[in-house]
Amino acid sequence: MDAIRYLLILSAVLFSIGAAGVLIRRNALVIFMCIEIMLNAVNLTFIALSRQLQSLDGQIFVFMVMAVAAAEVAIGLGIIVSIFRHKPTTDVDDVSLLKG
Amino acid sequence: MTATPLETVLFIAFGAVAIAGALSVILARHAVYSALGMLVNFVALAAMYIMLSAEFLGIAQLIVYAGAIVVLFLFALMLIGGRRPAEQGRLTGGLAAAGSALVVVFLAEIAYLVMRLTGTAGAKGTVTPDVIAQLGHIQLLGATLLLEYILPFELASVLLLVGIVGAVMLARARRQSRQE
Repeated sequence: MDAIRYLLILSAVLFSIGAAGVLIRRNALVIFMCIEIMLNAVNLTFIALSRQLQSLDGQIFVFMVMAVAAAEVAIGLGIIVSIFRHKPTTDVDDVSLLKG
Repeated sequence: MTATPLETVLFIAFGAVAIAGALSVILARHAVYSALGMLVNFVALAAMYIMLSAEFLGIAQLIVYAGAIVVLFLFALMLIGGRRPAEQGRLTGGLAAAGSALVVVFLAEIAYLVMRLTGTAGAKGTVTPDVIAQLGHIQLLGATLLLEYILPFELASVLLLVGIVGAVMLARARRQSRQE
């Protein structure tokens, strides 16, 4: 079995841990961290396959994912802090109403 | 892709550290420990990118993720005040078990598909690790980004601009509503 399979399995494990965190944890900030872990797992897949296929195209995707993640974190944390100012909770189940 | 014994040992070590960091994010009782576990995960992945001859992306991972994003998370945690009981932030009992089972099924599917991969077929490009070592990763990636993928590159900069404006708007709306 060659190294690419180990890398793909590793990134699948990391993605699953992130998905489990999103499903199980109720703290909005921890859910956000788990989303970052899933993005990183996908980045690892892209870089491993880019090395396997000897092409740089996959790494361009990683570059874009990093730019999107940076923008997403800036906006997302701004929204979470705004919600906290409005209603002092970080539990996602407490902000389940549209006009709450 | 053949790996030397040293590379194999390092891959296993960094992989174990990355998994441990990710697990500590979802298992930590305190959100600040989750953020620090995320930092460990990001650093281990940066080391792995460098070993996969993507040096520039490894350094970018350290600066953007392990630097900026973790600091932003800690900043938000401190603003909100991370001192809340841990049990509050977690599902327990049947729902948690159902979620974990779903994830295990997903992982089993992926593992099955990866094991079924036959050979190492696919179009082989020209960018071998030797070429990268000779020309430099930044030069190759920069040429690809600015010649072949110039439109997505510019769109990414527009996206970041929108992100900056959005973050400023969120902060401004908050200040106005406090003054009222």
